[in-house]
Amino acid sequence: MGALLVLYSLIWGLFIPLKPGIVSVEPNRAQAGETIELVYEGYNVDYQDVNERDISAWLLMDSVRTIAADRLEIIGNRSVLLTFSLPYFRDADPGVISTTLVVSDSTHGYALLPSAVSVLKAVSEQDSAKEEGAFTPIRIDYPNETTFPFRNILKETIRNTYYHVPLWFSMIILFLLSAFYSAKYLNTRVKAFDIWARSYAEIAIILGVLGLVTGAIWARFTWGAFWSWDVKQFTSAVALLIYLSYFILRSSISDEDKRARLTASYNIFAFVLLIPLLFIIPRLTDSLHPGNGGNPAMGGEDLDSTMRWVFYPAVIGWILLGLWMSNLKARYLIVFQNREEEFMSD
Amino acid sequence: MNRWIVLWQKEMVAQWRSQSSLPAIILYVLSTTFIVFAAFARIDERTWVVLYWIILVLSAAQSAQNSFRDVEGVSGWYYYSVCRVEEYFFSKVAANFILLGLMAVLTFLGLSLFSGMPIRNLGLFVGVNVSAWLGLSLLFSFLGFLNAKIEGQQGLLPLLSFPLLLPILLEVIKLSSISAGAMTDTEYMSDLYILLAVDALILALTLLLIRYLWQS
Repeated sequence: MGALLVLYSLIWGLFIPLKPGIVSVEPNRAQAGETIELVYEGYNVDYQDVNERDISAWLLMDSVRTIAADRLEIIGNRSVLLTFSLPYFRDADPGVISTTLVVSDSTHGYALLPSAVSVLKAVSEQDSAKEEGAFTPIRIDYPNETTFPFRNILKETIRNTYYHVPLWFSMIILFLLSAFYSAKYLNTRVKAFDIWARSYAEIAIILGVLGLVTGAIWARFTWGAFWSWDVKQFTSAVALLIYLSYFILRSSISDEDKRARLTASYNIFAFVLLIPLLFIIPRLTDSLHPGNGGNPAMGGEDLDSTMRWVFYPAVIGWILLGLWMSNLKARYLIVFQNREEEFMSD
Repeated sequence: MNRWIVLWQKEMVAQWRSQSSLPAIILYVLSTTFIVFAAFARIDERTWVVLYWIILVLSAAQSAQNSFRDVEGVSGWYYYSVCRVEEYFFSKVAANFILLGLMAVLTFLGLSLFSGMPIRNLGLFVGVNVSAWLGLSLLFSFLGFLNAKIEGQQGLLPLLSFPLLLPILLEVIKLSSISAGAMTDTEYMSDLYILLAVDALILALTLLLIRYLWQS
């Protein structure tokens, strides 16, 4: 079941295209009151067969003042030349307004770029009544198929959310279970619990390594380097090291009962210390990682409904997969051990 | 209560008398600070702080490992029959705490002598130090206890403890840099609370888990 969900999230995660987006807008500064020509380059749009009349573009100064483009000219496969005549500012406006560019067409859907053009203030010398007529409300088209949201720097890498985040979720859950079984072992001294704790930890380490690798690949494309000593990257690596030393500890004690006992207490110790390491410290320092230090992460604005369709199954899928693998490993070890005991006692 | 004090005093005396630990610590600290001086022409504040903590942490690991040498064997059985595990353990923690303080003062003096003293906010630095000593002595004592129970490789302790002391170390370096003026951060109280919280966490954990280590 878990495997199916993971497969589903893998396929859909990789194949669903992104929404159209705006890569760049040139120039990005203007003066109020003048007529500007912008060249915008789009992403995931193909203007070869699109009629100029089907495309519409607006510059949004705020929710009410939306300026429609006077003229549109397709100058390339993905580039369009837009002409806007910017109105003068009112007296109460701030010195600079960052306007959002919205482009929409019926084939692709809509795309927007916040803070596309910064407009400097200029107040009209004459009567400002005539500027009001220049505003046209926006009308955007929605795409026909399912698409993922487009975020300027992330672009395609947003797909990483399906792999990286669920892996970490499952890792945490597996570590929690491992610590829980360690505690159970200490309470009851049933050997099986120790085996469960160990299997959970093993699989959790594998998932953790995968999570770190997917994170590094993502970092290569968004931050520019595989490993940039970012706090969260670093503390996640440390978490893995802690559990690796759990296994080193295991292998260094030969007496079974002692081993189980000592490593169980180490496990609980390590897990409880892990929580501040992974969650609290990155939030305090300036981390580049999404979710810490002021970056957006799992909030409402950043997890689109289209992404939810793939994301939630992915989370559940990886958790189930991890549980299944640990389950198998634990049962195998228990059977092996039982067989060994039977053999010894004969 | 009396038992605690007696045990703790005994620990201190044992450390004082033991040929290897106290002189070893002094030697270790002074030689590392001297090496630092010889290797770097001038060090900036951040480097000073980091070196201070690295030296302290390494010496603490060493001394904690040494202090648990009487866990195994005949003396181990003796203590097992005479006192409760909490008393045994926390007397060692207290002794290690004092030792850490001593080492810290020595390192501080050594580094200041050789490489200057950049600490501006001495009050914060002392506060950070004291909480760090608490956390570090608890941590290293716990791991030293664990390590002593394993009769095998003795070099395991630094290996095991390094990842675990990272929360403390990161916070402590950050706070010390603030006190040295290397970083400016006016809201450092929250960091201090975090340090104390981690200390409390470690304390709670050791209280819970100690008795499992004791039985053998």
